[in-house]
Amino acid sequence: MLNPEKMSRITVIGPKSRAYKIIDRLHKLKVYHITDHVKTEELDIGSPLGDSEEISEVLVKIRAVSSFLNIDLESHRVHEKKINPASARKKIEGLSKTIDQKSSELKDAEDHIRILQERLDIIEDLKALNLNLEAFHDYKSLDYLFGTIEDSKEIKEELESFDGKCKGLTAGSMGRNLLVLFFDESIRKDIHDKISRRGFSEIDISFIAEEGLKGKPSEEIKKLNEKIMAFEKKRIMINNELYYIKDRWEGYLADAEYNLSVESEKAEAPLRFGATSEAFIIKGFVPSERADKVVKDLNDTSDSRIMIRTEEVDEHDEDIPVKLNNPNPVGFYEWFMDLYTLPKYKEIDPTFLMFLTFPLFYGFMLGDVGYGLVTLTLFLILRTRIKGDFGRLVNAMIFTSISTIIFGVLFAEYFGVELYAPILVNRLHDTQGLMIMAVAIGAVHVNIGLLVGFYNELRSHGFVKAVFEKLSWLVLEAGVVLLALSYTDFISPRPLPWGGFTIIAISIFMIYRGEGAKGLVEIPAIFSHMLSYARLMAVGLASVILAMVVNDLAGGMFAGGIAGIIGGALLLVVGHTINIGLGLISPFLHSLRLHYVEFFTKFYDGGGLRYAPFGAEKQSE
Amino acid sequence: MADLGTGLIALSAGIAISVTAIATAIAEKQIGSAAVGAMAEKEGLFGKGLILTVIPETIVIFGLVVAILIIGMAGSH
Repeated sequence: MLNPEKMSRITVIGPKSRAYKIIDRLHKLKVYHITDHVKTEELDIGSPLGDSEEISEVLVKIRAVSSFLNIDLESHRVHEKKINPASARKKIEGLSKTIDQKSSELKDAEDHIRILQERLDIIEDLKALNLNLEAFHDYKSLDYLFGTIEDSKEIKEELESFDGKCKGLTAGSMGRNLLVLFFDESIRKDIHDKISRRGFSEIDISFIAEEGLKGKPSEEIKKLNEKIMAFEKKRIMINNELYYIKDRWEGYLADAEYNLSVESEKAEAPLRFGATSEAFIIKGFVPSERADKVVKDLNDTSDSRIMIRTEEVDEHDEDIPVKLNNPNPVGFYEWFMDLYTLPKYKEIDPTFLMFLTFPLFYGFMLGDVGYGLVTLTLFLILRTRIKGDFGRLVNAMIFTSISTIIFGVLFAEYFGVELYAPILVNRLHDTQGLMIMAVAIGAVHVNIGLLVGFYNELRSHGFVKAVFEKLSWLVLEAGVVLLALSYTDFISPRPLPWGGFTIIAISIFMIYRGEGAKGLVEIPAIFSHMLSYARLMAVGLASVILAMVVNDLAGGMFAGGIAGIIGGALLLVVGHTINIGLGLISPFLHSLRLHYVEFFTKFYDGGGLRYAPFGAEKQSE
Repeated sequence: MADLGTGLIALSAGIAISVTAIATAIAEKQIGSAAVGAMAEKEGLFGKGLILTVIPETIVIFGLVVAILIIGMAGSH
């Protein structure tokens, strides 16, 4: 439980003729972690199997079609039918042709609707001006302009200066000022100058003359509406057809996509192998307890025509994948390791330690029976809804909720109300006691971290290094404590100060030997890290005080009759909901931070390689 | 009515909290905006960003510790 799962290194060498069978078998086994081969002068990387290009092409088509039809490939997967690339290609090509045709028809209909709608808007405007459409045909010596203008009153006065060579009409429509001008061609330029200064913007109505539209605008509007309706009908029809196609094909597309992705992964697997002209070599890892079975399986599939070598791993190797190995409920806390970084293969896996202390800190901070019950109910409900990666977090939070209830009993807090004399400490009145308790927890936690670090160093670099790097800090702490005792009255007679000084000096020398100058800089950090646990008090105190404020305010309102009681009840619900919301976020983050920053820095390197067996669904990074 | 000394103690406790709170705010502002930038590139960094953002919270917590010690000092005199 404290170590990642044991791995065995398995190397497979075989003739290329057997490659597909081996790859197929490994893909089905879903336990073999392939280490990518790096090209060397002696050994090139392999080339993809024959039909990988074709498969990729079909896959691209499937994905394009699915995205056009809005198909969620994940949710329609049936996972059963076997689909071969050639038949899939034929089907998809047919489908893709139909869809191309439908989509161009759809676009055509939509374009028509858009143009007709624009014309409809223009003719609605003309209707407001009370002119027949013939007015906008071409004239011999007249010209006209139609558009909107910012200020219609002043422009009218200005236009009078043209001595009847120009006639303007204005109207308001949808909050805009419409203007139409008929004028002699000779004054076209002057007119343009005048109206553009008044913020005129022209609307193109050339289609009226081009198509020879006549009669009253209202009749034309009627015609346009009919045309739009016809295209709308067509659009709906095409959409229905597409919907029908989607309904019929989504199962097949999802299956085909899944099957072909698998095939494509297999076909491209040799890119991760080493290869000569006739043979391939696969290097990788398998959990030790599965190693024998994997070897036997591979030999069976290839009629023993391949060579397999199994080795114990040297735990200092960097390329060993890490698979955390914790039974639930500890396993739920692996989520926190995924969030941070996985341990290296030779390192202690801190998940179990986190399982012990994370709920402890969280409960210490939130510590209220009422809040604990609310969050417990919340997470028990969420547990049935959320699966997968976040499901682990929800399960982990169930334990933190239980811890909150336990600490709530110890602190005697029930929605901020103190029901009896607290068993552990009165958080509101004995802040100093609470703070000392928090820092003491910190001292213990940090020292556990140092001891784990000692063990890690012992395992990877030997005893001497471990003593200088990790135990030196414990010596430093002992020196500081001794020094503190010689200036206070906790024990009598007081020890002499030089004892403390000597031990501190020795420890500083040890730290310098172990960690160099960087260690010396960090000397104050170890104490600030312990003090940092004072947040266990601070965050908790904030939560208690907020709860009390809500209760007091609501209590005051209850005295004020019916309205007061309703208002008070509302305030209680809203106030405590907000406080619980804060209580979920703040203690969670601070507890996490105490682990990541204060605890892990004492022993944890991380940076382990995630165990990603060939063929298993990819875990999102 | 509290005397001037008590007032000074209360004031210093207030200063201890407020100055450290401002310092925390300044630090979190920068980390927070950087974290949001990183998240725009890769959404999986939300968890790490959140953790990094609360790191300077230590400053204000030390402020609170100091404030409590100051108030405690007042009680013992």
